Amino acid sequence: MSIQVLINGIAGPQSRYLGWEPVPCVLRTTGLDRLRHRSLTLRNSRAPGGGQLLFYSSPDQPGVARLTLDLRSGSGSAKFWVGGQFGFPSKANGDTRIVVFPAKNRARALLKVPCMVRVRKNANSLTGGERDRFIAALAQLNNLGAGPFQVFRDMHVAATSAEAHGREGFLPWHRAYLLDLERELQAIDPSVALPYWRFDQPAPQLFRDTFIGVSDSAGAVQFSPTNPLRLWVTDGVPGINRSPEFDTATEGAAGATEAATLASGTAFGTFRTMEGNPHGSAHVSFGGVISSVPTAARDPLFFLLHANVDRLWAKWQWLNDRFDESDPASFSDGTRIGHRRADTMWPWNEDTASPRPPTAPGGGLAMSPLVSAPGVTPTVGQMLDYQGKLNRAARLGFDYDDVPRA
Amino acid sequence: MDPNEYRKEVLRETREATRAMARSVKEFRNEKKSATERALALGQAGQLTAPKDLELARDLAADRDEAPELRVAALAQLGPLLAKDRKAIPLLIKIVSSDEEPADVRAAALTALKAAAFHYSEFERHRPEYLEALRAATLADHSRLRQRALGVLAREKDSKTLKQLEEGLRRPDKALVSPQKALQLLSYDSKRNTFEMLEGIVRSPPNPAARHQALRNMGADAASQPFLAKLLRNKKEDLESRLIAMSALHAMEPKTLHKVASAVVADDDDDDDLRAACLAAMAPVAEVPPTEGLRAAAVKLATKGRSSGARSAAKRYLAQKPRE
Repeated sequence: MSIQVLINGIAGPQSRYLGWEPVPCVLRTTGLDRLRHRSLTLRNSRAPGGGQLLFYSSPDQPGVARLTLDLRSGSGSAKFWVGGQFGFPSKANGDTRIVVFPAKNRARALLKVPCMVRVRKNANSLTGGERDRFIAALAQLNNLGAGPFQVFRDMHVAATSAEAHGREGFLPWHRAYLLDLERELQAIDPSVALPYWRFDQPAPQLFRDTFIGVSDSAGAVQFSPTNPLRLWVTDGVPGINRSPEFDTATEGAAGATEAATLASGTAFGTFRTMEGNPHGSAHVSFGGVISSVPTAARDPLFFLLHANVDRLWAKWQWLNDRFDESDPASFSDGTRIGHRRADTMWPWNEDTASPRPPTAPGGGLAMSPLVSAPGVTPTVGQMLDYQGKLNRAARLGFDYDDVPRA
Repeated sequence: MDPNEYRKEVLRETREATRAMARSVKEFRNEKKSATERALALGQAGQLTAPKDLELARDLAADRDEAPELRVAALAQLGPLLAKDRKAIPLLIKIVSSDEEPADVRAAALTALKAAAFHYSEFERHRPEYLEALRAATLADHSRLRQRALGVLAREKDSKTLKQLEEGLRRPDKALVSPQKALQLLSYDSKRNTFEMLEGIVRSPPNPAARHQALRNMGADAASQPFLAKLLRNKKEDLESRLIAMSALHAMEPKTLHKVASAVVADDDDDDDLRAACLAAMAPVAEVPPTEGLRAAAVKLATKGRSSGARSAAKRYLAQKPRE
């Protein structure tokens, strides 16, 4: 092809998953097209309800719906940036496209590059397709108890609790944990993003037999015949035990609302009390595995609950500009290893010397085809600037549908 | 959506929440208000943070003369106090232990302790007393409190509790919970799920839910393998039981499952949903390539399957297992 768009330096489909933060691109012309076009225009074409893109001449300039690129330089190529427009995420892979056309003939598309604005969304409002792709990928990761999901289950047990709970590193550790899981899911299906359970709101679409399941009177979770989570196995035992203490169709779980959590203080030291309420409160709004640290990760709902905890942190960061790890209002070091900015986090650092746990399941953190951070051995501090506000190279490659670009 | 406008909206909501919480805290402090009004206010106060408010909540939670609903609301607020007040955890443990306390208050104290186990780094120091309090709560008349206490103890693999649950399965007059619940709780300790005990329940179940749970628990004992393989092939069994057998077999030994499941898939008269589930289970077993017979059966299911789910599963399997 004589006209190409390289996203993040890659021409292939693996790089075509975008968040709110613009990513660097190159429009390249070769052969006759290089001689033919002195400028080309980019615009977005989207399926109804599909993701919407914005183009940037530089990441510090406002995004625009249409961008004309000057190709008169000797190379026949031009740089631009592209990102999702906040409020308009995709619903399916390729439901939005970068369209390249001659600056003077808007009707003639020269190239269409399908993309996806892939962000984490409220589980209660996913489309059927989004829901089905997520649970299919999760079930495949579990593979009836024989898959790599067991590593994630083994990371979150009683013996490892001090790495992840009760201290300053609670939020960063769980951010890395979710990112690792999400990247594993995306290796199965790149169109999947981890959804979140807004536990302060009713979620009737989530607590259905076609999604996260409905509990019977004994707490055994029931699924529809075609739901792949029906074959969920952990610790060698099929099935999930979960007994809600609230009406999942009409109520949220017990605990502080989102507004109350965001209003709980502008310094990390006070905000992190959210580990107890609403995080702990949401866990113990159920009986069953999700209500105890050693077994919580056996329930797939656990990951949606924690995605919401992480979203609350992300939203609080955005609201209060708390991305700088050296700012005590953004993060304050604890005293225990693994809870200080510069510390690498277990188990990804494979450190099994006391006081770390004696085993480190899973090895390094999964890599992403889109971003290089945080590497296989993340530090606590690397989890803060997740959108790359202070350092673009620090971007972790995820966003939430209701947390804009910082 | 303009991010700047959105920011203003979120800030406005946050400010409103701050004001509303302040009003609620004020109402909670007001002793002239009724217990119901104060409890409601506490529920809308977000998380209390001021030391004097937390101390007031602690004192109300401890006061047996106060209305249970206010004590329940106060107990839900004590999280931030745990690290600062050495008496807070012992207070919660005492409430859970006491059969003189109202069941709702005990349950709220238990919830606060369960949450503390998630976020309070020094919780481990109190574990022995906590477990003792839970054991006391397993004798409560209130079934929900009893069940919740048993659930925590079972997840902690408390041997006394697990023995009680086993005893309840043998002697229903001594059962603390339903047989399916007891089996579910016993599943937390793989050593308690012996094939001999579970086989008896599967052959002579007290109810269908208990039978399904016993089959799930069989996944933890490799001795169950031949029994589960036979059950998976048995068309007289209900679909749920056969799916459970398939999952348990797969978790135990994927190659064995592959052999049995291949026979199920090749049987045109068998249930399409089960055949589809078997194909989905076999797809990731990389070391066992499909035989020509299995491939032909999958092609047939992909084109002539009775349900769309079965057809899709068969197509996915064929895509995942291309001919080399």
